[in-house]
Amino acid sequence: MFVTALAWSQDASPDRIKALENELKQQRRTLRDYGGLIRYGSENTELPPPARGEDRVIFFGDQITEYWNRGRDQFFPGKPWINRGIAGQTTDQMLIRFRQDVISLHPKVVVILAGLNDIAGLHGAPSSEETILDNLTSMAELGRANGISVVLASLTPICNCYSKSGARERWQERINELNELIEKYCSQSRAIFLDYFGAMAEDGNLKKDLTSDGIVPNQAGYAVMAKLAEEAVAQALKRGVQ
Amino acid sequence: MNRSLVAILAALGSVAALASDWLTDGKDPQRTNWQKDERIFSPANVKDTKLLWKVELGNEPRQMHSLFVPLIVERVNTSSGPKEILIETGVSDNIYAIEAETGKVLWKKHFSSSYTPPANARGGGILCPGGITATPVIAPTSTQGKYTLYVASWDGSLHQLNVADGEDIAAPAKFMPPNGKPYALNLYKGALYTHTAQGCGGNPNMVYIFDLATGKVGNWGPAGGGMWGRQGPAIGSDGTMYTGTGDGNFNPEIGAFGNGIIGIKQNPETKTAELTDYYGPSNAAWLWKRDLDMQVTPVIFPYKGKELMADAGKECRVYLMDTGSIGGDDHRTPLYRTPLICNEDVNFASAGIWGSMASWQDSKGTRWVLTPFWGAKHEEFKAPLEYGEVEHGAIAAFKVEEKSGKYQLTSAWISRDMNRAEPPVIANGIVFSYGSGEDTDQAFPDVGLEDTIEHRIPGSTHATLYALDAETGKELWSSGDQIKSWNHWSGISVANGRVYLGTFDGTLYCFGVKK
Repeated sequence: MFVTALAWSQDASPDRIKALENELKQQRRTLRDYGGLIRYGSENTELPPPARGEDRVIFFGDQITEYWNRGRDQFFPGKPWINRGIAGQTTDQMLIRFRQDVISLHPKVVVILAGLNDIAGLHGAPSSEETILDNLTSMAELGRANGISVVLASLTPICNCYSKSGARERWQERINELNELIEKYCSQSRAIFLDYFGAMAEDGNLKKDLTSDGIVPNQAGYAVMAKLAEEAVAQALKRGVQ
Repeated sequence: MNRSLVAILAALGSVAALASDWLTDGKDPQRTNWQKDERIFSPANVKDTKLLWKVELGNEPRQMHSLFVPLIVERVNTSSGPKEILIETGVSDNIYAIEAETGKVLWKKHFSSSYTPPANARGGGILCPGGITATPVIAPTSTQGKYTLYVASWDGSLHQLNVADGEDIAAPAKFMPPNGKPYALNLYKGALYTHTAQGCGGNPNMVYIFDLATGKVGNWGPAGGGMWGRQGPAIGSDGTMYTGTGDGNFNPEIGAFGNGIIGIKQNPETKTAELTDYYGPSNAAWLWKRDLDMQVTPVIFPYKGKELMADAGKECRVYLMDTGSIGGDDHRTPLYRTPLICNEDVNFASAGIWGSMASWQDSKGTRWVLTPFWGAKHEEFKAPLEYGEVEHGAIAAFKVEEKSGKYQLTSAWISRDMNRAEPPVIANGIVFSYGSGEDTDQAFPDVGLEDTIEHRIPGSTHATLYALDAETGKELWSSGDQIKSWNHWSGISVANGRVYLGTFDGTLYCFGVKK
């Protein structure tokens, strides 16, 4: 009875109630806008069409993409490259907003980095690697059908550098499996494979000096990614859509 | 001029200066909603506000509409002496004249109509209730104490009535096609202005300008996007009327002006209505996609030698414009655009800015712009003064400022939560506003879009009137649960220590302080 009473008092605390209310609010918001169309919907309509000769590139993904230029005004200063990352999104959500946030902006290249939140089961049961690849494939095909060169990035590695999480160890195995599938798909589809993982991992783990939380890259991590992304985009622009 | 004549003229002048009327929706042609002539209400005594009277008028609601904003004339010469008279409009083609002091109905006029809407027209439903949908307008005549009421009835006729007794002053004249949905009439220099929306009665959405001298009617349509600012158009000093446009394509090259703001002026020679200016928000395509109409009556006011205008829409931003060129050279650039105040979830029905704006100037010369909004405050929008969490709506107040030649709206305060905050009125340092209590939801998880009275009337509760300190937004008084019903698409008016509000059940309430 004591345990039950303690549990009840904890459950009914104002902080707990506030936390649950906030969680409910977030869930409602997700339900109303599952694809996240609101996030960039208005901003997209304010972007003029690409100028003649402009090499517009869209970086499309989850928190790893969204936080790339956090705290800075510009994303890849001097380049017409546009960040369309939304933290916490899974690939099925991204598929919903692919037309609005990529196709409608008429880029020459899209760089897609996605799948980690699917593996983490952020919206329920974790998706299988094949399901994630299905969604990535759909995005790649939609891009190509609209004259957009597709760069598919490997998932970035993670580490237990700042915590001891059994879940992360399980995710690491699945990240490797998904990356193999993505690379294989690219080799068969002529999408360009962008291997962040190989450059950022050490013994399968995200290098500690490239992250502050074990998942999202820090400034040093993004610097590594930027160099690789620039090479992949240059390759995609040179190759064009085939 | 002899001294006694000067004394008489001075006395008449002071009477006129002290007259506290509300002759048009929004108080004046500029739709400031500012009762400059209030002398009885004050921040010190408003806490003593009481229900002075209420009267059941017997107006039959149509859909969710019932009573519109009461108009007020302080001194009307009647057969039984001068009286302060309210003109209350009921949607079922009813006009009531009410004695302001007592709530007694002095006369009632009903406009009969034998018109039957065409079978293939959009009709019925909440958006097309039929009946009178435009708050009338009152004008003084050349005879002191005699006023003319201009009303657009359901059949599209313009009626001119004597406020004293309701008698026709002139024969009804054709104003617009029948069964449309005009919004509050505005009167400026001998012409009546209105606009229509929702395509009611199968009619196109148009601006109508009735020239009183010639009886000619000019009209103009934005080819997409009805105009449904609740208080009708606002009119600038050069006679241009401005209004927001609803959902539709914004593409001036093909004559489409949806989701924007238009300026229309009467041609003095031909009396036709002509487009003179327009503005399209840079994200107009997004507004159209997500049903975020620019459906708010603007407010126009002087500021440092310019004439400025503020307007808004369901997206929940306020735009500040110069009537000299409302969208700048490219018609897409206002003087200033606020961040989102509310509507984080992009809700087309129960969030955003609805109705009309307000503006006033305090004794220190600070110019204020006020807006009501529905729904929760945007998490990232902050004001220096806030009064608790806003979940259902509130009033947001801004100061107009010029910094280094740039104009801006600086957030000053956000009121307490109000259940669907409605357009505010400023009177002698007080902001009066109310939560309508209306259930505004139009879509439901189980049935989808279901904008019907069967869903919305049972969900509506009751209106609550609030008095706020105009400089701080602090609550000074509220009507609590004294108002028993709610209202839809209505408003309040204030004069002579009294504030008026009509409700869905046909009751007109008068709250005030004893003189």
